[in-house]
Order: sequence, then C-alpha cells, then structure tokens
Amino acid sequence: MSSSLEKNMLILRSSDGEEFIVPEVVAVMSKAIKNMVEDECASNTIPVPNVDANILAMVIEFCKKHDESEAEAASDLKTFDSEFVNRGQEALYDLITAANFRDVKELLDALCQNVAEMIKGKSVHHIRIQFLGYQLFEILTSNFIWNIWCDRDFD
Amino acid sequence: MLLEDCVSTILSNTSPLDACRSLSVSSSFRSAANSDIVWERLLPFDYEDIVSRSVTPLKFSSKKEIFVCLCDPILTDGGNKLEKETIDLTLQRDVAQSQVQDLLRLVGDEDSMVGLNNYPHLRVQKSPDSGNATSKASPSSYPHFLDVGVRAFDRSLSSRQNGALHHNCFDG
Repeated sequence: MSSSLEKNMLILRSSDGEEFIVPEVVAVMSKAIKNMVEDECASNTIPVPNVDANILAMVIEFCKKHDESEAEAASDLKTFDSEFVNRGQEALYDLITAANFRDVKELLDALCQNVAEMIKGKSVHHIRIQFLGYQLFEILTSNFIWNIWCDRDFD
Repeated sequence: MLLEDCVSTILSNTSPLDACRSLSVSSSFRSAANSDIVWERLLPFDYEDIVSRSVTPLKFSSKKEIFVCLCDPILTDGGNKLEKETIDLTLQRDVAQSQVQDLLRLVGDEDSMVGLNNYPHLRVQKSPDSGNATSKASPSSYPHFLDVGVRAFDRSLSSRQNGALHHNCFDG
C-alpha cells in the first residue's frame, strides 16, 4: 500500500496538522508543490504552512474538480467556479492568499475575477468597508485609537 | 489583509476607472493600483507594437504612464497613416462636391427661374412676425446672395453646355 501511495498519492499537511491524501496530478496543480515534487525535495508528506485545514480542503476540492473535468464542457466548469467562489468575505480572502502563496493559477483567476466584480463601479467608501471592514472593526473597539484613526491613512 | 500582489491581480480584472478610483482607498491600495500587473492587463494587447511605431518617442517609466500616453492621439508609422487618411478624406470630399454640382446643374436645367423668383418672396411672407429687423434685412441680403448663385450657374453652364440653354438663363 505504501508503495502505491508513494507513486500516485501525496499527503498534504495543513498548518493546523490535519493531513489530506491527494492524487499527485491534483496536488501539482499548485506550482509551488509541483516544484517541490520535481526537485524531489518532498517526501510523502508535504507541509502546507499558512493554510489551515478548512481552506486547504476547499482548494483541494477545486483542484480535483478541475482535474476531473478537463475534458468536460467548459460551461460546466464555469458554473462550478461561480458557485465555488460564492463565499463569505473572510473565506474568500483566505482562499486568495492560499492560492497566491501556493501558486494555483486557475483558482486565483476565478477568485480575483469574483472580487473584481464586487468592486467594479463601487465608490471608494464602499471598497474601504469591503476590504478594510474587518480591520476597522478591531480598531473601532478602542476609543483611544479612534481619534488617531480619523487622521491616519486607511491601511 | 490581502497581499499587494493579490490586490493588483484583483484590480487588473476591473476597469481603468475602477483602478484609478481605488488609488484613494488606502496607501497599500495606491501602490497596488499603480503596479505594472494592473496596467499590463488594462493596456491593449499590442501596446508594445503601438509604442514602438510612435513618431515622437513616448516618455514613460511604468505601464500606467504608457496608458496615460496612449490616451492622447499619437502619430504612428512615420505619419504616413495620417497622410493616407487625409488623401482618402480629400477624395471623398471631391466626390461629394461633384455630386452637389451635378445636382445644382440638374435644378438649373429644370426650373431655375421659378425658384429664383419665388424664394425671396416666400421668405418675406413667412417672417413678418419675427420683427422689423429681419424683414428689412432679408430683401436686401437675399437678392445679393441669389445674384452670386446665378452667376455661378451661368459660368458653369456656359463652359460646358450649348448656347441655347445659356441664353435662356441669361434672359430670365
């Protein structure tokens, strides 16, 4: 069993220690992992730091679907993509960070396209709330910092 | 918070207007929106070709500045393109002018006398309500204008048409 696992399957370990057994063809959709496999610097288990189990599962789901349906109609894949990226803000940003860090081009394109649609034609105020809302909430809980925030650059 | 590269990739999927608007969102957005990742995608796909064909060398230090340069019209291909377009336009204008001349000749053949006599009269009848100034001005200005028109007709007719028609026009 272990030899077959070595040949075609890889184990990805998320930042919080959970392990996923993934076919190699799916795992190498991430350029970063592909480089590691090609350089043979990876053993069976590949650590994926900065990506927790929840997000890693989503990324693997996306890659599996894209690997399976390579021959399928492009319209089916498009429907899947649009449903896949239809998530809450926080998950969306975590996914983008993961896709960027692991270099999964298809996923990054689909996600960025989705977020771009959200900010198209929107006002500066709207974009600020959308992108920096979470940060602002943290800052606003402190009245002292509120005064500083009024003068600061939104960053 | 998203990395700057990610924000740039997102902005490259929007429009130039959205990219410029997001300059004022925050300082990290500003540097993301100024990056070449964004403007590479927003420029036309053959922008390098266009820039290399420009007559006056464009001055730029980033992809965004290329975009700004290309917003103004530029001469390309040593200016020959414009020359060719000018020639085309001149040809079109000449064709249009000769068509107008043909039309005028046709009108002159059929009922030039009726038109010439009636037109100023009609004009005066129409405009008494609009005040004294116009009704006084029109009789003095219109015959003069028509005079020029008749002379122009005669010259073109006398040079190209037979004597009979020429006399006909003059007698009227």
